[in-house]
Amino acid sequence: MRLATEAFVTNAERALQDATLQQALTRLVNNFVPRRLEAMAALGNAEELRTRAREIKAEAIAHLDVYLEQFAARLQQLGGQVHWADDAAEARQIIASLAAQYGVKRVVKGKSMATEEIDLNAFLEQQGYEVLETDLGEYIIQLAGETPSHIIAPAIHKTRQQIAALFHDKLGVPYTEHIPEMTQIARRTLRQHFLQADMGITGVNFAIAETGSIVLVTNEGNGRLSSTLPRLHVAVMGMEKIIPRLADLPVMLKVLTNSATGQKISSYVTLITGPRRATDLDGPEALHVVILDNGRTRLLHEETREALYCLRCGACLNVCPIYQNVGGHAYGWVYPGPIGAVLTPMLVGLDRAAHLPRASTLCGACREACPVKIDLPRLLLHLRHDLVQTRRVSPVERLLFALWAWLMQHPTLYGWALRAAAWLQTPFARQGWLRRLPPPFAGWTQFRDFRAVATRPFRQRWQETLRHEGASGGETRHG
Amino acid sequence: MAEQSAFLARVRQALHRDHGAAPGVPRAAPSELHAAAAALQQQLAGQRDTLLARLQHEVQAAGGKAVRVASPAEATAYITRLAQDKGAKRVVRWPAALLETLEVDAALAHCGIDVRVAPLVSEADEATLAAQRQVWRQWLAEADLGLSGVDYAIAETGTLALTARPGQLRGVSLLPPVHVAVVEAAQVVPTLADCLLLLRAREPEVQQALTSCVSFITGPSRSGDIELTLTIGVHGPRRGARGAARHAGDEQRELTRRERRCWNTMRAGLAKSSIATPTTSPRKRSWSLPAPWGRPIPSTRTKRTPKPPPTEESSLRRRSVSSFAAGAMLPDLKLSYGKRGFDGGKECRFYAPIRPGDTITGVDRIAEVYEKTGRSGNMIFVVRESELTNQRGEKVAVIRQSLIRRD
Repeated sequence: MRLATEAFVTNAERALQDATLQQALTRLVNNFVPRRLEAMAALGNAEELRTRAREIKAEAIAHLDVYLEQFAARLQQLGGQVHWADDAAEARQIIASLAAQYGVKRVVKGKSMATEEIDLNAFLEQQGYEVLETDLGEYIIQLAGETPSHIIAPAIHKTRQQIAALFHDKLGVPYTEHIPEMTQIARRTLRQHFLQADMGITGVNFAIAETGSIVLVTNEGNGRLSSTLPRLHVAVMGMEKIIPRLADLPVMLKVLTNSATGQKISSYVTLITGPRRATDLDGPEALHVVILDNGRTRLLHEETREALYCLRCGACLNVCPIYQNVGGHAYGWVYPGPIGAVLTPMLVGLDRAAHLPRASTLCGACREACPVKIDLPRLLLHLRHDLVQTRRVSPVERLLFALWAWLMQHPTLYGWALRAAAWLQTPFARQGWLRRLPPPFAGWTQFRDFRAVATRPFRQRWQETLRHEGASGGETRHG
Repeated sequence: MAEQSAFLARVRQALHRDHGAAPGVPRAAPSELHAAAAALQQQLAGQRDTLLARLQHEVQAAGGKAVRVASPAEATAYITRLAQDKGAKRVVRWPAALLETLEVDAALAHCGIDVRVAPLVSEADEATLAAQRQVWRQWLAEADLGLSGVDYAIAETGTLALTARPGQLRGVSLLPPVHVAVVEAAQVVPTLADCLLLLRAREPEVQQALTSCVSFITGPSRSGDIELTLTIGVHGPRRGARGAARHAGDEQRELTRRERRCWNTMRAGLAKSSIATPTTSPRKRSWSLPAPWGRPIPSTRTKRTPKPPPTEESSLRRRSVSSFAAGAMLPDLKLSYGKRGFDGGKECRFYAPIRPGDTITGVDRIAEVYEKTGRSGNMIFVVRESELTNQRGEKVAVIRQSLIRRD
């Protein structure tokens, strides 16, 4: 996928002006957020499950080398093949050579973020293969020549009218805005492709070290069809998808589907252990798993490791006030939202995605929503710290913060400064708010107001409260 | 491309760990597995009825259909009727023992429906197998209905677990537009964890127990990819119907029921704070707090507010610049500016506790209207102040809410 992270600010501004997108985002928020909340509440032990899920991922990542090795060994015992890809180019090359080796002409794909990450479709098409996305949302955006704007609802930014016109143009079918009919059009078209395809490419939701199995979770069945009908099945997984035991699967699955769509379980969960056996009459004759690093070892450092616990459920996107306003495309790469703001800079380099860690209010809604309790605000702060340390912020900003820090360390001066500020602001402050600040602070008040400095500083009020309580016996009353 | 050893060495180095510091997952002891599985089976024997009821409920909640039948004959009758209703011409099925006892082939053939039974392949030469695979691929693609058994059914989620063993083709539950699975009461387990335990206790080697593929199927194929509108039958079966032997009863449920539930809950939450006394300006409204005050307050982003009782002002509401969660509207400010409005934040000050059973009366006033110019154009800020008092006339809270209107 083309990297457009550097244009975040302009992308975001354009997104804010896009009425259709704003409508779609409202729909997304009204749909996914209450569904997840309701589902998590219905679980009864959501907190316990999230804690357990986090422990499982923490154990898996802390011993990633051991579990990857075990996974590979177990899969190979069954005749499955494992390939190791250091980066996107290697992964693409592996898949292309597999296609050549098996004499592939047509490729169908189940929905997978890892293959978006390595920009596989364009590459395979360039090599002369026919590649077709089979998840309805991915199919729509493939027809439109766009990129996904949400991890689990890739075509959320498109209206039914746009999709109807797209189907009419590209598939030559009569124009219809009736959603079930549009779905049936896609079904008919895709079914033919499924039956003719030689290679099915899917992602992996979980890879189980104990059994060498991979797990695919879909609602439409695209993963199941792509991994059953073509004679060759290639699964692409980020190396962090490992879980240690088969017994861990129920916990992980529960937190994943409840967080993603508010379902107790998705319609199809497919547990694949090797290619078809000698006596199976269907299923692929060969199974290849491509394990992808592509920058992930850089995240293994203890400080940032928890970003690798991510299950790609999309819950943090739905609750994020930034995502809710700018949508997925503004983030400029595969992974949008808070997790994207953390992963993208770490995978593609902070230099090329310096805006993303700042695209957050640090409100913590993402941390609350995360099924594995990733402390996203902490990770964002960590990246911002890196930005400052490596002098990637403007000198003016650095100077101001240095001044502020210095002032904070000198209580007397700080008190004077505040009093001066309180006096200076009087002509401008109205009802405790400042409407406009002079440069270089003008950016802040461009879209919002700034809290005026209190005329009676907190420290003074605190002293008074203490004195008052000393007199009245110390009991505090609130309300 | 990359060597496994080099790849893993880099991972190990990044983790700051020495090689082999932790063992992988040890193999589970078969004796322990068997003991646990036996204990579970024994425990389940007493709960069959509850489990069946739960399974039926969950299958239907997931958009499938679950029918409990008292006898094999009833199951056969149901399957035959369904096949006829769907206009099925070709049925493919597993060679499962349970399905044999139903004698469903004869019943279907009697209605002129072609039934193909997957062969139980044990050992055959590669050429015969290849030919069979080719034939079955075609048959599966053409079939109108797939009939299978299950290995287990999971009550908690309404999920069917189907392994890929000889004769148990994956395609039967995947390619035809209708999938019917026959479940025996003894196959129902409470959770996925129980199902996995029983599965792996079947064989000494876990990889053998899992077969090449275990499909967990919950309801029909579904998608919300167009405008998040739920549709079924994108790829897999449009209809997943199952019969459960041994018990009577037939219940149907609409597909969209579950989807609707969430928004009914939201509406219920809103309806609780209905408006009682809309009066003249400054606008007053009061409502009673439900007791207990435990319902989640609906998101203010929702547009689904209940309609206020018809008053003169309510005819103005369509163009008014602000709305409140309870649905009360301010009179029109005659601001015809800008296309979009959004929340500019709220500030709440609380003065006294609010308790269940209190009647809260609010008086709204427009505190301020002002303009700002940003990089992207003009914005108009409307600040509204609501003073809330309880039935004793005590001020309980003041809410200042800013609304921004912009191009």
